Amino acid sequence: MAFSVVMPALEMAQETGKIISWLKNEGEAITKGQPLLEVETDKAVVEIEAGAEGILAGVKSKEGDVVQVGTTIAWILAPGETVPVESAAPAKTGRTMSAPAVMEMAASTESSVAPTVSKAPGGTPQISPKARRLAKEHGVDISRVKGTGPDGTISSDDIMAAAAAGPSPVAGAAAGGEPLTGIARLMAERTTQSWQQAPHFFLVRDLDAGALNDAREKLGPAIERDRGVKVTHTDLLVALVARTLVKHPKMNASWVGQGIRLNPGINISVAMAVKDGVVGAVIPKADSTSLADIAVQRRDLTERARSGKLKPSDLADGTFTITNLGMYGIDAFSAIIAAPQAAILAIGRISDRVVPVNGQPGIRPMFTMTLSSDHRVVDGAQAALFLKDLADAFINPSF
Amino acid sequence: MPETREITLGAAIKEALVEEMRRDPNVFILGEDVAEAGTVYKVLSGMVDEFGKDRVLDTPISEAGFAGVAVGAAMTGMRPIVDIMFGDFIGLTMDQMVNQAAKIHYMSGGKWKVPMVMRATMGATRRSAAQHSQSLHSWLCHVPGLKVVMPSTPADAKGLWKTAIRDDNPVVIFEDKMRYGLKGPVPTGEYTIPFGVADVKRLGEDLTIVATSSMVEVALDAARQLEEYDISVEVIDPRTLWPLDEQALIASAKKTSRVIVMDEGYARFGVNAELASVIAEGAFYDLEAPVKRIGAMHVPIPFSPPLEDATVPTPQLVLEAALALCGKS
Amino acid sequence: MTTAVDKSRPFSNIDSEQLMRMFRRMVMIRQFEENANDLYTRALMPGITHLYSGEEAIAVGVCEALRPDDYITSTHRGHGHCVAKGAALDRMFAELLGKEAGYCKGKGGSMHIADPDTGNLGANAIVGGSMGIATGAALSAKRQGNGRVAVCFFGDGALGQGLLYEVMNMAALWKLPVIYVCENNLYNEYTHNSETIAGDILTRAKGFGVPGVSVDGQDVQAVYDAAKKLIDSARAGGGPQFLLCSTYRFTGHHVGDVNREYYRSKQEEQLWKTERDPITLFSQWLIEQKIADRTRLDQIKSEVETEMKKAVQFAMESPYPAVDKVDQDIYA
Repeated sequence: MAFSVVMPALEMAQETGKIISWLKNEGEAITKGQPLLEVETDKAVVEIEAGAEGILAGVKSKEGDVVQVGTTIAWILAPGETVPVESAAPAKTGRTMSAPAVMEMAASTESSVAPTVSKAPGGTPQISPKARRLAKEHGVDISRVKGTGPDGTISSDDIMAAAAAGPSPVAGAAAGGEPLTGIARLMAERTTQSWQQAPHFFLVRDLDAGALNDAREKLGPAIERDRGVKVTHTDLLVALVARTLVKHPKMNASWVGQGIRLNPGINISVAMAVKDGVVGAVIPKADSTSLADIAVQRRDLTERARSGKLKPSDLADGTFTITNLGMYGIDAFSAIIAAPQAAILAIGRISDRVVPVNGQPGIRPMFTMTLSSDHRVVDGAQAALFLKDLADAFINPSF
Repeated sequence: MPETREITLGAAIKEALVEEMRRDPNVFILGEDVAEAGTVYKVLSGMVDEFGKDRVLDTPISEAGFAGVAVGAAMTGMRPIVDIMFGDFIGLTMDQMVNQAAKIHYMSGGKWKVPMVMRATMGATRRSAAQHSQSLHSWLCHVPGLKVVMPSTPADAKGLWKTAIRDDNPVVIFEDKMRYGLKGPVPTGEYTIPFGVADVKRLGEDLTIVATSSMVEVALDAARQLEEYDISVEVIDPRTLWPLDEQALIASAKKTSRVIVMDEGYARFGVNAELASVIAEGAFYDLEAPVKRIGAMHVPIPFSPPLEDATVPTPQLVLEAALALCGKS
Repeated sequence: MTTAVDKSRPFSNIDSEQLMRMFRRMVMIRQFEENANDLYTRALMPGITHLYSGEEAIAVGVCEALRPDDYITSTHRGHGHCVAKGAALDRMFAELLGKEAGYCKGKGGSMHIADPDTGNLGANAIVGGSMGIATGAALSAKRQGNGRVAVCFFGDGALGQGLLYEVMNMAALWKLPVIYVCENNLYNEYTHNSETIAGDILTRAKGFGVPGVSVDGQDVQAVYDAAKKLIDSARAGGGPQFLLCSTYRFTGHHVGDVNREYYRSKQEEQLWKTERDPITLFSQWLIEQKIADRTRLDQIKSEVETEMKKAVQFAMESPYPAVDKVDQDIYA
């Protein structure tokens, strides 16, 4: 009867053993109890004796191999026998319980011995002691708060939400409304916060896009050839805005509660649509980044945004945002600042308009840009100066 | 309403033992000085005359030994009652109680049973110093497989003892060594009290005191005093720590919203902590304040009387805690 | 230690059927332990176990002198006692693997196997942990007048536990029918007992007035003779008895104790295995006395092998207990 030689479990909780040397060779006759091989465990090198008599055959593991305990490494055959074919699945050992079984056990014992907590009857909502205290402190009427905790328990968050919403009754998860996903909820919260807290003012300029179009035609092909990316207007805008911001640090600053923080780097956020909302994908240090690199980064970020694979680092540390709705046919719009940034530039579509050219009506490709600024950080004159320099850069671009 | 008569705690315990030993010839008592001496507390006096030295068996001073003997006897058809003179000595019996008695039924897959009762004492203020004054019942509550009983009145003691002797599991009963003289009404007929059923010793509305053993009397004393402050106190006695009547404790807590837990074990890591936790989990949303624990001071029990008395919960301590909980201090 | 069977000794009063049963039982124990070891080294057994190989003559010799309803308590090295008292192999293997079909529904494992049907009060993982239990069972038997005795197996290591002296004292005082059987295999885990046992072993019993006998633990007939006398005496009201058996465990303290040379020399082990193997010695005696020949003995070994295989397979194929059984059987 074929006898399987296994990597033996020796010490408690031993998982593997290493073969140090075979003391017998394949084909050799073996007697029971004869030293057969040496294996190494954590603690020592141990000589393993043969467990049966016969011929050593089917040696599967060699010197130096690290093998899981219980695994067959060779066979001892009686004359005429052949090496058996092993089934693929190892026997269920019970040496270590699989994690799900352990967790299942923990869960079932907990549920069977935990004291049953009776629920509040019918109308009275349960409320945590902390929530009760906060309700008192903030003058919130508990009876009009809907709890979002387990079994409808009112939690501190529910009370604080009610307090923030003011006197009118608040529903937690809106009665009848759709629950918001993460991004949508964040967007709602952030825009609300920014709109309510930053005193926005808006400056508008109409510009001739001719120079930008020329720059694109001139520089585009080489970059496309070298870097495999088509240069877009967005790339030009990112590059020019970033370089202009160098001279207007306050436009690149942040409002941080107590005051203004000038930011060391110029990291341009480009507004991009993702499922359920808009995020700002950041091109860091855009002022010192070449147009070609900007284009590559912009393209990679756009692809990730489209496939839902943006990483947190893609969205971090933006200092100024550019948002472009031109592709949707929008002529002009005023954007909401992405707090804690100080400003955001909204770009409309380039379209032919009738404008005076040398005193005569002419047709020029024109577009409108609207700068929203936070009046806590910059005033009208400072923002206007930035916008003037930006317009100059758009008309005389250099990269 | 059953007919009752006033007898002491000690007498009620003896009645239970005598009646059960008459009822079942396999019941016997073993321990130190149980026979002629009737134990140092005299509760068993005279029993050896009726039942003989085989059934009221004096042992050498070998707590581990005779606890082990009791385990073996219980497994093989007898129903031994092991008498441990001072609860402080249960340390000597721990392997037999914890590793053997508590686990044999489980480890054998339900094949062997250990129907034994261990009788131990607790309670300080006897001026017996640190090694003879501890209330260590929480140690045994911590071990699955044992049952732990704490009677506070003569009527409870008799009924619980009978249940303990008839229970097929290892049961440990702790009696307050200072309270054998406590008098109370005890029904005249045959009765037992089931394990896992708490008893409301006093109904109230404003504050719940969960109290065990002699702390019930302390709680009742404080309750009377609190009436003058217009605070209505409910005193509830779990009677058995394992199995524990959690529902009753939680219901009382929900009713009053303020709870004091009183047990003479050390204040930390003991019965007080467990009962407080059970109530906090079960009645959390109905509590006006955290559950307050009152137990023995966390010091070795001193010999000198004024020091010893300072370590034990008193009605005064309860009064102060109750007033604080009710916002009336 | 003696190195050879005394062939000049007259026959014990054991008929050949009983002799062959004793031989078969010893072989069963030896093969059970070999299979247990195999299951362990193949990583098929949870936890560890402690093998009785080499000490078979004691379990078999003593249990042969007992009635089926007599009690035994056992130790962490208890498979031998369990088999010798008549336990079923398949349910024993199932218990070692933690399966529901095991003696304890998988809840006890190797160190806690118990079987009321054969009077086995249980193996015990606490050294000396069952001495009180055995003594209490003897008290119970005496009190109920059913004529039973209790045998308490323990190793020389347990001589260090105070409980032994407490219970021997009480057993002697109350004249309880308990036989304390000390299996002296010379080692307390990994320490030679010359470092752990002061004075003389039998004197310990003598000090309590407990009669004691010393016997060669590798000679199953000698063990049987001595045990029978002590058991009969205890049964007849002679009080507790003490049997000291000199023996040796052929393997390590537990199945993972493979590097033993730091506490036991290979030569010493070899000597015991080749010259003091109780099964070999008994085989030789049976053959010389013409009670059985080599063929018959080999046939028995082969029959036992078949039984073993079936028992192991039963255990391997048996299911584990359902997880919701985890909190059952705590209380009766």
